[in-house]
This record gives sequence, C-alpha cells and structure tokens, in this order.
Amino acid sequence: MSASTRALAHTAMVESIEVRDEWDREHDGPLDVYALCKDMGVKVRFVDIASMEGLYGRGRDGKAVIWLSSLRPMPRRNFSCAHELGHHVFCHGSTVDELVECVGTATKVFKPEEFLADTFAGFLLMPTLGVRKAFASRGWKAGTATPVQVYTVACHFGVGYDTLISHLLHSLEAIDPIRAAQLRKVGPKDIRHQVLGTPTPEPLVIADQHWGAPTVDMEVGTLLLLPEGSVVEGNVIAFQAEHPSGRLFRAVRPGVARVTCPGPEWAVFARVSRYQFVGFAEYRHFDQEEDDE
Amino acid sequence: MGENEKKAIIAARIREARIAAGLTQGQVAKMLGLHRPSVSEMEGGNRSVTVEELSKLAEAFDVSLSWLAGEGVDKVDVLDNQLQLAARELRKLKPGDLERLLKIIASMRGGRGPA
Repeated sequence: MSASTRALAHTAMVESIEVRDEWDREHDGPLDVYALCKDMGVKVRFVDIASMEGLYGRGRDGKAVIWLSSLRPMPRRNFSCAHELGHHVFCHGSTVDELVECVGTATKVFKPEEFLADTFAGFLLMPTLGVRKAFASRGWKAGTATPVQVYTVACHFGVGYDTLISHLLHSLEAIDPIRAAQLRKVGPKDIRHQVLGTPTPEPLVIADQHWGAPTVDMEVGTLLLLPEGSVVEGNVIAFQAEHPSGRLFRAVRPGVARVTCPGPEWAVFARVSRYQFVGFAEYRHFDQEEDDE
Repeated sequence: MGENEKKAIIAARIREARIAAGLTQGQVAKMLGLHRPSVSEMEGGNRSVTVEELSKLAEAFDVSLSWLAGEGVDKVDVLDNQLQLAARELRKLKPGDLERLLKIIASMRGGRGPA
C-alpha cells in the first residue's frame, strides 16, 4: 500500500469511528447499516437492476438516497450500502450527465473516492475492536482461523466471506497474503458443504451465542444454523434438521421471529425479507399474509 | 381531464408507488387502518380516496402528494445537473438497465413518483 492510499485508508477508518460515535453505535460489534442510514436521514431503496451494485444520490433539496441492487447476495448489499453511505459521509458526487459520459470508458483506473468509500465501508461494518472481539470471544485467532471460523465471523458482521478476508488482509493486516490465499481456496459453497454435510446452493447464516447483534437478517430461502437447543417462535422460520453443529432452520416467509437458546441464555430476533426484496429498506421485514401481494 | 380519467390515473399511481415502495396491499391497509379490499378497490379505481388517505400514502411511498393526486406527467427529464451522484458501477450498466436506473434517479426529484 502506497503512502497516499495508506493516508486515505486512515481517513476512512477515522471517519467510520466518528460515524459510530456520532450515531451512538458501539465500537466492538456488528452494525445494522440500514438503521444507521435511516438515523442519518439517508433513504435506502432496493431496485431490481441486475448490472449495478449501488448508487448514491443527493437532490437539490439535500435529500439523500441510496439505491441498491436487490439481485445481489445479502452480504454484498450490506457492504454496498455501507460503501454508498461512505460517499454520503465524504460528500462525493458527480452530475448525472458527467457519469453517463463515462459509460463505456475504461474501468481499471484507481479512483480515490471509490477506495475511500470501500475502506470506510470495511471499517464501518467490521471495526478493529469488533473483529478482535468476534474471534477472541469464540476462542479463535484471525491469523490461524479455519475457513468455517472466518465464515462464521463474516456472518456475524453481515458481510461476505471474501470481504472479511480482504479486510483482514489489507485493512487490519491481521493475516498475510499466503494465509489469505489459503482461505480463498475454500469458497462459501465448500464451507456450506462442510458444515451441513451435503452440497447446498442456498445461502447459510451461522449464528451462535457470541452473535453481537440483536437481530439476524435473512431473506426467504436463507438457511440459518443455530446452536443446539435453539427454539424459534412463530412461522417465519421453519425447522429443517438437526446437525452435529446445531439446529438448521430455513427462512420461509417475511416477518420477525424470536429465537431463544436456553443453555447460554442467548436470544435474538430473526428478521426475514422477501427474496430479492424491491422497495424501501425500512419495509423489508414487514409481515406478509400468504395471499397478500 | 374527466373525473373518471383522473380517478384511473390516481389508482394507477397508487399501485405503481406501492409496488416500488415494496409494500403489499395488506401492509398498506394496516398502515392506513383500513381493510385490505379497500386498498384493492382504490387501486382498481372503484373507491374514492380521501385527501387524508392520499397524504398518508404519499408519505409511506415517499412520493409527492401532487403526483399521487394525478397532477404532472409521467415523462421525466433524466439529466439533471443539480442532482449529485456517486456511482462506481454506472459504466458497467447494460443499456436497458442504464435507462431504468436514470428513470429511478429522476424519480427522487420533486413532483414525481417512483420510476
């Protein structure tokens, strides 16, 4: 990393800390980026556009909006939301015609604004203290963690497996390039296979008693592995099977369900949205009757 | 514009804005304290909508009240120099997606509903 990119990374990290401070978020746990956007007055809207990740806009009235593709995996949407929030925090922006003029031009150019927003997103979602705590509370170390352990911590922060590896490597410097390459040899598909004992195409969230947030967010179809003995109330999440590593559930309808685990007295709310939900983020977990459209 | 034509425009805009907001008829009914068939009838143009209801709907759908009430046109000017955007992926957008996105962007300006 060059001196100038290191300086940008430092700016991004400091700003992420300031945002957590200003909006009363703890520094050692995961963060609901959509709730943060709402508090900051930034409207988040999911749209079903396949060839985009996200977009930040600010109108002449100062109204700020983030548009995210609903067609990306949930962890990717979370990261994109934090990235676009970075543009908001750093007051980035071009006019529509300037951006349209860029369509079709080369993409492999280092853009400080994008690097800043990306690094901000990494530190906002995965703060240094939070990452340390996520590994340490489970008795793991980032430098020697197995792919399943890294995947579990990625679930903890609501980010993708590869996103956490990149953050550990580049931003936190908690692993070296060799370890990062070893971890990347095993993909999320392999990890799901290893954990569940069978090839599974659906996304899997692993939540344990060290889960740092009051909620577990999913969309219909997502699998949820909970600690042994966990009980889910209501009909939003359906039990699938007992596994050596816990109880497997599936999100089957939009809404909110309470999850309790009697042993370590752990409880959390599982929030489920429609599959590839289109609309405003604040409505994504509303209950929905079966024949309601 | 005749009364029936206006009613049809309002009905169509309520439906369009509700879907873009990610709400079902049942969820809107709950927000407004109505029964679900009432929302269905509003969207079918078979029930009058009060100003109070329209105002609540406009807030829930994040659109302007005047647009929801049938004023203005659906055509939007997609290029606006006063709108500031940050987009890393715009250049990767397929032509059809770019057009859709620009309409969505245009929808955030006053006097217009969802794209």
